[in-house]
Amino acid sequence: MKKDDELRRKLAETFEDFAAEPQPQTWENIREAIRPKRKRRPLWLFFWLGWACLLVGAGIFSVRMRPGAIARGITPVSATETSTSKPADWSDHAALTEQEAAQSPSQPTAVSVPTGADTMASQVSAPRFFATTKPRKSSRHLANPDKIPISSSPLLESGLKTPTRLSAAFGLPTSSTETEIAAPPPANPSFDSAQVVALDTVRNAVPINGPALLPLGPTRLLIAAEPLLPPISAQAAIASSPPPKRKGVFSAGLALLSTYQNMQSQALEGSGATNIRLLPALDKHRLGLSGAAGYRLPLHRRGDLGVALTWMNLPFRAEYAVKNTHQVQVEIQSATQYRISPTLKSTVSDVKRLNWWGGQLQYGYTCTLLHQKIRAFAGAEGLWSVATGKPEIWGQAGFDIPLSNRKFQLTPVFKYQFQPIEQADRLLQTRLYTLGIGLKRSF
Amino acid sequence: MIPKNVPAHLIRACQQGDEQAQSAFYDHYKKRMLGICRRYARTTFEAEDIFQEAFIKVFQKMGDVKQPEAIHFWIKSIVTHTAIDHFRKNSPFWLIEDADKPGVLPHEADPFDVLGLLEREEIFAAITALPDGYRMIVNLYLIDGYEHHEIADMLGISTGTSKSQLSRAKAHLRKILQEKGVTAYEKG
Repeated sequence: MKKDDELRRKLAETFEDFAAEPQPQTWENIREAIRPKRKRRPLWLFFWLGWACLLVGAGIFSVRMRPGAIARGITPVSATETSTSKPADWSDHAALTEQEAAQSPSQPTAVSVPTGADTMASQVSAPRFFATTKPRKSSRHLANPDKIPISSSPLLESGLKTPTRLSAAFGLPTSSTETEIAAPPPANPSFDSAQVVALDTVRNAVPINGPALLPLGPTRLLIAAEPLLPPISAQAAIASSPPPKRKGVFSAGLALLSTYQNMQSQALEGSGATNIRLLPALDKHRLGLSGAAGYRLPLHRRGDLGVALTWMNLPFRAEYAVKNTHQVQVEIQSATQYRISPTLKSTVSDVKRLNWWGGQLQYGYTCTLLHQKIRAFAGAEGLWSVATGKPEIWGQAGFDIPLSNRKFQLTPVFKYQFQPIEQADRLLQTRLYTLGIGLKRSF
Repeated sequence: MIPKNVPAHLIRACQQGDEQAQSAFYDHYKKRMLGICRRYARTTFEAEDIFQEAFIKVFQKMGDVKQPEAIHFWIKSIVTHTAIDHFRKNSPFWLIEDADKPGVLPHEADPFDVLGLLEREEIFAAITALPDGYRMIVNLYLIDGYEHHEIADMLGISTGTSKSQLSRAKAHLRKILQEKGVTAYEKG
């Protein structure tokens, strides 16, 4: 044992300075391995952060656009200017429309707003109106009409029937007989029935647009949720947008969507109205179903051609006139990230079909942000009604954020629609806000 | 002679991820630690692999160092354990006893005595020629100074196995030395 210890000591001394020179590359490898890796920030964090920012922004904007803020400046309107319509049953609307069409647009009414004629045909030419003796309780009630207590309904108090309440709440058509009745004086002089008339007109005039939330690619699969905050529209979406391949790609999708609509009316100067007035905004949420199918074919070496068919149904939308929207979109994309999309759209209701044509131009820019190649895009779409020639303008911006496996992309989008409608003496403005977050999958 | 330990502030800087400090730390220990790896490895390439793996562990676990004055032993321990792990991973049967291997010492001179008479490079060549398991035991016991119970703990074997492995290693070493024509009496 002692001999062993002696040997061990000797060997330990012998090898104490035993050394060798490592290759220079070894340190590079070690350094690379120990270098603190940048923590890839979880994408879901950005997802929700971006989402929260959009919601907060929309909320602030929405609050600023609340009726109360505008109605304070409204000049009271004399009760004698107000005409009322007897409410109608919804099922009688088709007959009503024909009856209305037979009436002269210049038929005198007791209100400064033109009434009675061909609302659905022109969609904007003549307002439809109905009586309410009290202002709507709040935009929240309008957004959730079923929550309005029947006993407290101002329409029931005024002796009118339930459909009118529905009209007030949903923007459904007004009376079947259009019999004019004398309206009782408004209980609240700061809010007159003409306002409701105008707002109802706006609602009827607003065309619907397809769920062009995700403008990239012909296929969209959107799953939307109703917003938690009343004035804000939220939309979560899953979208399939296949990249161009040599043989082309077919894809299809289904969507639920929700949007927030804000409408205002302003009397035109010189129109004979007593004052320039801003009427209260009407906030409205929509929930609908949408489906899309498309085919994308590569064109030459640069760009590709996509054709998409989109169908949308909004059973709960205020504008009863449009129940379905069919849209054909031909998208030409160049390698420079420009996308030009001629669009044909048809909106169909129980009583009317309106055709639209227009196009979309979009520009996308790919940049590197947070070690991710992100494509930012912005574009605008203009649609014109064949029947009325009235425009509908969309603007949208968003991002395509590739996820780690490159097959999925997140696409948060903000979309804004503006539709000015000039009537005889007033300007109706509709704004539609859509916030979306999409998840695209490439095949 | 290069001092075994580096200054404490260098260790602290390494713990904070200072790349320059890490480079200096590496430069200080690289040759000696690669020397240890060379003893445990069969080839230079294998030694480089063990060395690289060990130093990555060293930097990753640097934050655990509480006693900078004992850093040399800490690194050496990591390198040794990395070498053991390397052979465990790459040759899982390296410690299986083989009946064909020489297990009984001949009556000639103890080869360990012979080792003590050899030059370092000759010893190194003889140890490198040993099979993995024997080389490990010889390194751990004879050169690095671990006791059998420590070796047993490190390798996950019993103390008896450690001793028997050393005995077999000794016999194998004698065979190697004889093949090389090195015997005790030649030196004596």
